[in-house]
Amino acid sequence: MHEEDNLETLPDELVAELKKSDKRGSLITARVDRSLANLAREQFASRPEKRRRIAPAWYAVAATVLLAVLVVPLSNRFGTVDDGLYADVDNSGQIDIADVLTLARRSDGEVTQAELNAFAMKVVSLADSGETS
Amino acid sequence: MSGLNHLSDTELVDLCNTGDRSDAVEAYETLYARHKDYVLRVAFRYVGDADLALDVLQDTFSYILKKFPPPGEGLVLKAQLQTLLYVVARNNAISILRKTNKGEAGGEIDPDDLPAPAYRDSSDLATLLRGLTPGQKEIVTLRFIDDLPLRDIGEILNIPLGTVKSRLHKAIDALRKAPGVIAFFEK
Repeated sequence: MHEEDNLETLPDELVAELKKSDKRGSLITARVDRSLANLAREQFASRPEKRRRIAPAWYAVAATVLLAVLVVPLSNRFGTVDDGLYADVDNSGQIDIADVLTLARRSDGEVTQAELNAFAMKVVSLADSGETS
Repeated sequence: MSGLNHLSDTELVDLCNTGDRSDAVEAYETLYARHKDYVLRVAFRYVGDADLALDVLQDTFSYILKKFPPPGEGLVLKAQLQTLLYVVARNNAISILRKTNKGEAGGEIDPDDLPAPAYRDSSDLATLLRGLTPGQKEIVTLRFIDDLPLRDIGEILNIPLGTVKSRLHKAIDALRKAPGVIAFFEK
């Protein structure tokens, strides 16, 4: 707003009346909104879509570990973990649940929740069967 | 409610110009939601018909959309987005009036000759501004209803700032004598 904008004024009540008189109930239907939204989707369809980077939630990892402890002895029906992920992430000398949590903390969305879940399930499954890494 | 509603018009336009697909769509939808009622009001001032005003609204936002790449080269805001929307809506309204042959002069409406809204209905606004010339009505509307800065009004009307000031001054003088609003000045 520049100084010159305040030089010419009208009584506040008149300005309010003018604004009120220019308002009218919206005539814009949902069909019109949809039509323009569709045009926008068509227009931008050739743009690249960004990769969603969803950081795994700690509570989700913890829930997976709990689930693994309870369920794995009864059934081993969960997905397999990528060999590249199954690693001693924290350099402790063994692969255990601490590696899952470390990976979840460090991954910054590069590792999906499903991959973490599979890692956790494998760790718990091997521990339960007495295998060591 | 859009997740981008906290962004300014300029930031949203930037997203439409360069953002990825979902951001661009959401930014455009946010701009549309923010300004659609304004564009409709501007359109209605000119065409005075609900269906035609909706046509103007769609043409206006389609025009803006095509400015974004691809195929557009990108929208560069030189003034407020509202100012650009006003100009585009006005031109579309005049164009539609020409096509529908509903112009005041038998459909022969030249944007350079008749830039002012026609206030084609018998609305309260037309009543309030009765007694003003079309040019005076437009400058009062732009300044006091649309709240546009004088410089933006100059852009819209394609006149220098000094001319905007003198026209506004004359319009207010005329308004003081207008039968519909004289009482407001006597309070």
